[in-house]
Amino acid sequence: MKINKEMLVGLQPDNYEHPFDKKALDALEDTTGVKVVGDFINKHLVERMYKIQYTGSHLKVTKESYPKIYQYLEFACKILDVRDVPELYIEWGYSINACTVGSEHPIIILQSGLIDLCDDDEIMFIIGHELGHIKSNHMLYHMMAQVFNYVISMIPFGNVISSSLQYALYYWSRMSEFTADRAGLLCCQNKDASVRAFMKMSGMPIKQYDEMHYETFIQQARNFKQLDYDGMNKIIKFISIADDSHPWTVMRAAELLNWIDNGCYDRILRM
Amino acid sequence: MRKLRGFDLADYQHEGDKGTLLDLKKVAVLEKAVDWVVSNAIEKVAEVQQTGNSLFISEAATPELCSLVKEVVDVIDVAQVPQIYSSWRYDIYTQTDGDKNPRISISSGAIDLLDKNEMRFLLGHELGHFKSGHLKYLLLCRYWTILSKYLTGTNLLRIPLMIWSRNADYTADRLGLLACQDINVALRTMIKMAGAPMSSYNELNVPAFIKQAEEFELHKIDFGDKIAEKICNMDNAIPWMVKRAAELLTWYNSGKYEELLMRYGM
Repeated sequence: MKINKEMLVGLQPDNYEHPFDKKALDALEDTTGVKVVGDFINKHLVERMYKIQYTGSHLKVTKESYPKIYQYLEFACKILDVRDVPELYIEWGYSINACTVGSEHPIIILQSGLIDLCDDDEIMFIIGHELGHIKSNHMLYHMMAQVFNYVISMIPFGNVISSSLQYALYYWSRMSEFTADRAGLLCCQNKDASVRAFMKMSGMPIKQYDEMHYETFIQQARNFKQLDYDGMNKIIKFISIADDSHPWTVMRAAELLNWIDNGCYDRILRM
Repeated sequence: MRKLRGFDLADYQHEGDKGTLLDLKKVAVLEKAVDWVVSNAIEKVAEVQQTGNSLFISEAATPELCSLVKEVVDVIDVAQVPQIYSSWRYDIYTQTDGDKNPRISISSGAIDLLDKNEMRFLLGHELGHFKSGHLKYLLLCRYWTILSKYLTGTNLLRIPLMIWSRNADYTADRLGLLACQDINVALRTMIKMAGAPMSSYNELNVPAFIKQAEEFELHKIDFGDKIAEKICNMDNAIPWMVKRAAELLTWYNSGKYEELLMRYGM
């Protein structure tokens, strides 16, 4: 792990927010029904129900149970200036994935595959990504996306507002990942580690972990023609929402590399 | 390891398990209907799926696992040796299908990730469901959509049934413990099921897990029926391992486990 990391005291969400995120968030907040759904979630203790299930099922990371992983968490919070250290849990999973649950007192959940398959700075990248969601106050809307179908079926006339809200919500959700990736990079402060994390996530077989070809992947990311997200075909946009939990990995890498190339990342480090 | 003889459900059943099961049995007409649906529709579907898709574990091919099963059957005094199948799944997962002739399905992940003693706990749990008469109702839960095609208006039953199925796990865990007769083995298996990364298998921290289980408290909240149903839906995917550990530890710490071993162990 790269030891000499800058502590980014005073870091604010707008320092690293991705423009697509901001645009989609504005659109989301203007969409009919978003406040109704938000109030429903808060009133009916949705967060509570989710957290009970997760905390009742998975392993809590503490100084005693997993000291090394707990250290990553503490270090990451210091770097990104996150005052309240969230709780961290590990669930069984053979892929590299993590998520955050809850908006009032969020908890982060890492898959065990992440711990087994990634090195220190790659883990810092992913923990930083999740902390980015928390720091940027994404969590209420993320929860909304997670429980959308249940909630809509329980609000009277729910399906009238649902399709445009659903589109706006899921679309913003994908864009928010770009912002969180930037937080991830600010956390690990190791560009190679973030590229490696993307490569592993996008399909690198374990056998090849020792000889990864960064250049090929970076080239692939730069070539990815659909960089202009606005100019994309509506059909492609729709399909990208139906994708699993994150937008296309290669696209995420492209956006992050862009940000580095623009000099914005360096500027923040020197703040 | 002691072999247990002569003990029955009342000696180890979890309190939450008793309730709904008795209520369901009391409704005689329902009981007949459930029997019919289970044996004619659900069992057939389950049987075809399982025998068609999974790998049959035979004496000839996998003698070690088969003799382990026989040992567990002997230790906790189960009436018959079930058929064992394995299916490809990278996590630790087991499921028993079949009411009168149980077939246990063990994930390949369970076989790869657990050691022999931990496997005893897992087998004890599944055999525990069979021994305790849970299987019919578990099949109902699992294949609910089939039942509701035959019996309309029974949807209200689904919620207590699913809540009961969680309690049935607490009973089965007790038999898992009786099968391996080592609380640390039981807890280690639970830790692995709850999500321990493989790289940590040599240094699993059991006391920290016990602490997490003791601190976990399920607060009672008043829910509308609809929300409760939704939770039960979400419930199927979530393993509740920490809660299960808390329940098992309560039973273990109460002395009842030792008592059972003393009374019925040979």
